[in-house]
Amino acid sequence: MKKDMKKKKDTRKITAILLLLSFAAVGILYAAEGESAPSKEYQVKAAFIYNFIKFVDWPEETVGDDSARSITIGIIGENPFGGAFEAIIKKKIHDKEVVVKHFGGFAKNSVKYRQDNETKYKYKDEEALKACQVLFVGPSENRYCKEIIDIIKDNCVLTVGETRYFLEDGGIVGFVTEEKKVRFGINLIAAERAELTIRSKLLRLAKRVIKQEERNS
Amino acid sequence: MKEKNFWKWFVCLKDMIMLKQKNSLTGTVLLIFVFLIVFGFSQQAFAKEAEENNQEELFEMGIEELMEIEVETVTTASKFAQKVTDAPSSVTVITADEIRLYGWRSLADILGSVKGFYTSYDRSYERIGVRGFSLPGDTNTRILILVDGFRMNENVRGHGGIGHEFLLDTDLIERVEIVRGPGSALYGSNAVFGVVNVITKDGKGIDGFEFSGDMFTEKFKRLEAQRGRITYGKEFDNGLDWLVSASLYGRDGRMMYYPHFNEIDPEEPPEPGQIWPPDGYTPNDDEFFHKFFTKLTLGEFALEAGFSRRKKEIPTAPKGAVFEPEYHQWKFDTQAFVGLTYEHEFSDTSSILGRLSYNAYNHRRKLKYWSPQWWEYDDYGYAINPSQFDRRGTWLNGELQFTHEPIENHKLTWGTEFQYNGRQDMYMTRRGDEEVYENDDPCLPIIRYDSWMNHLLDVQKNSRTWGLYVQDEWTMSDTLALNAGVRYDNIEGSLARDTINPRFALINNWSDKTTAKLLYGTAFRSPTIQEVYYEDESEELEQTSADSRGGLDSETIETYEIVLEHYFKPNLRGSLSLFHYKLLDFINNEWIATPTAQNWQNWGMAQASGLEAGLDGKWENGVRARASYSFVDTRYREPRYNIVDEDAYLDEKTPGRMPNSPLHLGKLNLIVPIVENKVFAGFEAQYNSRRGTTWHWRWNDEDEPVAVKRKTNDYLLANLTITWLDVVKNMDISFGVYNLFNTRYYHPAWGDNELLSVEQNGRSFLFNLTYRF
Repeated sequence: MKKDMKKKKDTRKITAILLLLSFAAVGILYAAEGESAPSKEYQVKAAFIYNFIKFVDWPEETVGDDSARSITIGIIGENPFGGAFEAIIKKKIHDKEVVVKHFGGFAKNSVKYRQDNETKYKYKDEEALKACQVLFVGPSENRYCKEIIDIIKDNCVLTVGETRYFLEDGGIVGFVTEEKKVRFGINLIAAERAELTIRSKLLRLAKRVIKQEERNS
Repeated sequence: MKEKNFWKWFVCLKDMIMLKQKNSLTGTVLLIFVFLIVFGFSQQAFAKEAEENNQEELFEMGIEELMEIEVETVTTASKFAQKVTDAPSSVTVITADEIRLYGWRSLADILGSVKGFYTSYDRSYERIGVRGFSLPGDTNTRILILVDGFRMNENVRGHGGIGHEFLLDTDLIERVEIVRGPGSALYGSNAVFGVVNVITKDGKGIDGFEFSGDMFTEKFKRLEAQRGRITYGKEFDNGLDWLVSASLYGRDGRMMYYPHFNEIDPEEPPEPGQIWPPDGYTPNDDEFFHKFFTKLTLGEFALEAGFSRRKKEIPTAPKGAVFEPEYHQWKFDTQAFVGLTYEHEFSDTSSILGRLSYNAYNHRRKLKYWSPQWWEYDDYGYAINPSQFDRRGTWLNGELQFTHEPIENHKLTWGTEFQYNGRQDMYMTRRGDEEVYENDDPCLPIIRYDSWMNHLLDVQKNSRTWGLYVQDEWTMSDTLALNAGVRYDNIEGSLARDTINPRFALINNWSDKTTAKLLYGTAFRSPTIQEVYYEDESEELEQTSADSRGGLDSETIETYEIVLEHYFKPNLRGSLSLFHYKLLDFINNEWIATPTAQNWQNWGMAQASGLEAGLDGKWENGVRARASYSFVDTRYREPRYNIVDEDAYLDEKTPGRMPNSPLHLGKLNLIVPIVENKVFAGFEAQYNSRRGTTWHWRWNDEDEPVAVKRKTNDYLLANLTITWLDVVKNMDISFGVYNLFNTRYYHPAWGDNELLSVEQNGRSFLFNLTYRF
């Protein structure tokens, strides 16, 4: 009899524990369903990008038919901004509308091939990528920064990234976080190559600017 | 009417979760907790709305203004500290925030919350169990404890302290990296089941003075323990970063009941004031420590030094000592450490790392035994023989590691490590009793006992070890990577032979979100000085050392593991691992013959197979959660005893489950912000299934000796900590309830105890105040 009681108690205990764990699992999954809101870091970075557009001039010839009316911000990989850009989509910068385009992850959407003894990549939406005015390399694409930049470096695209060696990889604007505050560096050589003019105010605020002389010295 | 229904529902839920414990306080606390969760999740909705407005404001700002915004708050970082899917094993990282918000006060608390790990406390040391292995008498010798990469396992018995004897105050921990699986291919000896690397904080993060005080109590009537810490940290203009910290802790032990030592005959209850026989109660559970730590970082150099002394009273009368509240038995652990690190990056891909450290570790155990000279009694009316056991170790350790990328896609790490164990000593003295015959003729019955200090053990050793290792991280394609490493270890002296340990990890990134890993590795542990040379020549024990019996072999482990990791969302990771561990020639001292015996021998093979599943998530509103379940079945050759004339003989070894190995482990950890960035609730729940004890002597009703073995109960342990940051400027407070449901639970005791199991703490409360300026 006593043993029976004990067994019963044990079963109840296990049920209770299983229930608790399943509640936890359901809770976690449920919470995961909602679209994750952007963190403060990316809210601020979105505002930075908005400001960069104001201080960068794209060459006249690219401002052709379609792009004459809009500025496209491309985000490659997972979107860390959530809906942060929604607020500026209605706004206009230099009388142009802002359009946000999302591109799939590089690893999934690209094909590797060899040419002239060099490994090269062919991205699926390459043309659309090159047509962007701004391209943000998302945190999921950190591994492929260099490859992505290699594809678009000769086009008039302002590349924005946040890896440690983003500027060395040939990116134009790289975010760094210092003492909990967002800072950025500019690679002028890459900007010249992309035929972008960066206004001096932005250069003054940059934490680090890579210029021609620096490379020579 | 509605309210009544709600109340009924609540009582049901409460009964269910409390496992039918009638206690209104726990109910209330649970109710509070449920509200916290509901409140926390409902906040998510409000938070999102607020964010959109916030975003509008941000777009209005200029760059100068944006540059002034602080983006990293305690909880908003939704990225994981590092992408653990790239690591060649199953890795968990615990950060300083979590340590604070969960109210963890020792490394054992931290490790106990991690998937597949469990701790056992025998009221002298915290022992760590990994994936079903926590052998009797093991003092964490099979897990490597590192502080900033410096080896902390001492060199006489391989003890890696994770309780209060650990070098650091938990408040100084920046993060803890826990790597499961064999690590000998990189770290050498001791890294059998895993490597725990504790990274310390920098002075920059403290930036000024910080005071912290703890008050700990079981019941609010009595202050049981208190702790104080003062830390200073700063980064000076010349780039020098300095951290210095000192901590002090004292605990007045709580009264605990050890039924084994209750010698009162229920038919003859003791009269008031009568102190003999013992009733099994003792408050001898005091603990004290003081710790000091400092770290200087300048450019590529880091110099750190630490000192820790912990003094613990042992209530469990180990090794056949006296169980009497009047007599205090102590264990002292003192360690000092100096370490220098040099790190230099030649380029993006090549770097060099050098480490040099000197450690000293002293252990002293002071026990008291009954003396047969009953007439030479002391003030309490007992005749007592004191004994003292010392373990002294010093070692010098150096390591040099070079990383480069000679060929594209191959990241190579070369390294060498040496250790000179300058001192590996053991001394044991006990006041012994010897029969001295007053007359030359021993037949005459005039006998006098004489006593002096017997030097039972005097071992003085030193040894040298060195190792060479190489590891290659080969990125074969975008989705496939191979991580292979091998290490050669040369161990001088009679301890063990040379070993070579390989490790392979094949990592396949199926997609951006899913990673599969195939892992194989071996690891080893050389027998410790204590295991080889410990002997006890006293008459009643007559233990011989393993050395005199032909020495011991190193134990080795072979592991096979499959790990699947999947990001359901960028902020939610799930992991599943299946593993099989084969521990060969493991060194065991599981003997019944005497409760004090420490006869180590290579036991044969032990195996563990199991699975671990975990979920790990972080949300923007600050909710963080970890849940895990692990199942491990262990097998080894379990001894069976035959008792003839009060002597136990090893009859046979039959397959059985390892002692102290729970089949199921469930963990849940949850941080919920109650007020954003201000008030947090940290909740953790741990379920442990039953654990077996080792064999012990007992007498049955007919007063015959029998060998017994029991299982401890399964239990659900829950802790809740509420932390309020910046109550007034620069002052944080926190209040923690440990063992929320007041669960009564036991851990198996170790071989040198007469006890089968030791009761753990009931519900306790901790109040902490931290002030910075």
